[in-house]
Amino acid sequence: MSATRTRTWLWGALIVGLAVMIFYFGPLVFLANMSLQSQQQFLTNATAFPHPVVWSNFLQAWRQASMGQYFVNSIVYTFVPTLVALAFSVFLAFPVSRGYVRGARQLRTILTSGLFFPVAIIPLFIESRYLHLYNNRPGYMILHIQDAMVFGFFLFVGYFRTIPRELDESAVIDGCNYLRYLVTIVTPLAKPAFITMGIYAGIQIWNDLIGPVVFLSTPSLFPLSRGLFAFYGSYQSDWTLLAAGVIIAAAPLIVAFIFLQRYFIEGATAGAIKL
Amino acid sequence: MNSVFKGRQQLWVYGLMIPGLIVFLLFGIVPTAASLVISLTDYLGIPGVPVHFVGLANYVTLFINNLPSMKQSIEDTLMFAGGVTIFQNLIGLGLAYVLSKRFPAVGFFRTLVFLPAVLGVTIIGLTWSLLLSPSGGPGASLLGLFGTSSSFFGSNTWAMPLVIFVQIWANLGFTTVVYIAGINTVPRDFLEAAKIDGLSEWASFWRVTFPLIAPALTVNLTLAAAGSLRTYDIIYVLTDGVHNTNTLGMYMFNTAFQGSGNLGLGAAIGIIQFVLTVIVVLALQRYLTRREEAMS
Repeated sequence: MSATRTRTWLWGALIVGLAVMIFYFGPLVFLANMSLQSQQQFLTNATAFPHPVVWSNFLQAWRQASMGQYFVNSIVYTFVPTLVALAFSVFLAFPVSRGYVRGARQLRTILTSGLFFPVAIIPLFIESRYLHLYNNRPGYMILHIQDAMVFGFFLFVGYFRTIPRELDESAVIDGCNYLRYLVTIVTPLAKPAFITMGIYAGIQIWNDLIGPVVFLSTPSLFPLSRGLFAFYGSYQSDWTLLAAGVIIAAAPLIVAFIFLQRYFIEGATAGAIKL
Repeated sequence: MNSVFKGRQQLWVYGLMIPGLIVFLLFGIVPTAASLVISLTDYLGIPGVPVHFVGLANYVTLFINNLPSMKQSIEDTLMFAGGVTIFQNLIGLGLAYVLSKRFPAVGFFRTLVFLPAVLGVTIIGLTWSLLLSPSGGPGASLLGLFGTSSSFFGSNTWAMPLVIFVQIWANLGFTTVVYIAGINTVPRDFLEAAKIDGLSEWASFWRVTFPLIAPALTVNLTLAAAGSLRTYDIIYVLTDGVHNTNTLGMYMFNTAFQGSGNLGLGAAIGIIQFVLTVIVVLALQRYLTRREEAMS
């Protein structure tokens, strides 16, 4: 009986492993294959190995899609709001978590409920025009603080409880001021939570496509997500160039994922409650 | 309320909260509340055009004048959400069951399945559009072997199933991770006891493991349903809502931002989408918590 069980398991593992390889590794392999083919080969014999190997697809995609510019935009758009949101959410979460301010409990409920607010893209679009946040870099970044901040708040309010209150007291006795206390004592202790929040929020912003479609109209302001999509729109039948462009855009994410996997998964599971 | 920070320090505590609260008010509370108000106006996307309060006119337009589109859109939404929720959980559960065991390269498989979660809709959408391009490419070549062809995302029959497939493909990793976490909490003794009682692998999964992972099931079903009822960015990339994939989110987005842009009407669709989501998710949650209680 045990022997048949083991055999069943072996088959199960084999089948699942194979399916995962076909559906999850396969697309990447095909994409890489396509990105090195000539346009002509793609149309006639896309499943064969590239012959001849067209490395220039990458260079051409990089230039024609102005990906350098989009990369710079994406980096700025991702890092600035994530760091600002991180700071704002610490400033909110610490006193609320400790009950150091009036109405801490109510504040906590309201801010946490922010996770469940419906997507209000239309009012945000109208607001962005009134507040002159439409189609400019600072505005685009300001519009992305809210979601990251609410997520950070939710994460940190729980996390700060693991930092003993006695620490606050001794800091005050030593004459350490509030801001310095947060930066030099709390931040190092809460580092894992900060990394989780930063990576999760950063990925959301980096990959946002609806945001740049609604809030930006000048191509030079586009982040990579929208830039790549625009490239797709105008070179719709240049399949091999597009494949190269997709790979260029995906490569940094894949590399980051390999190194920071643990935090990605943690962030996503913590963000699970973000319905 | 007993803060250890006193006087000037306590002022800092309050003062530093202000920027965050302003952001929350401006970009959290105001837009949420404004959705309903905007849905009662004839707000157009063109700047400078006067705005009027029109009462329920947008809702009348949607449910009376444009009833066929609305019906189609609700149908598409339920089809998409239903397909995603059911299959993502079935596949995720099976996958988690196998991937929770130890065998060579299991960590690699888990990583691989989770990878799309970081790639984002543009990369995911374009990847599948390229793989399944009708005029050539791997998908077409593969079908060619069987002597058939398909226009894939450009087909009225296949667009929806394929969009569902891509959505599941993108989110399966998360569902699987949650199920694996659930399966790992099942006490080994229970499974040993089932084995000794002579239960087959299949029977011991359904009679021992499955009831014990009820919380994971609740989380996964609720999240998949809520997510798929709301999301539309992947559909925007793959089909832009044509070929029977015009879910409410897509309908809202295209009404508000495509062409001349009718923001009031779009906001009304957004409200309908929100109401539908709340109804479905609450009903599902009620059912699932009762189920959990009955099982414990």
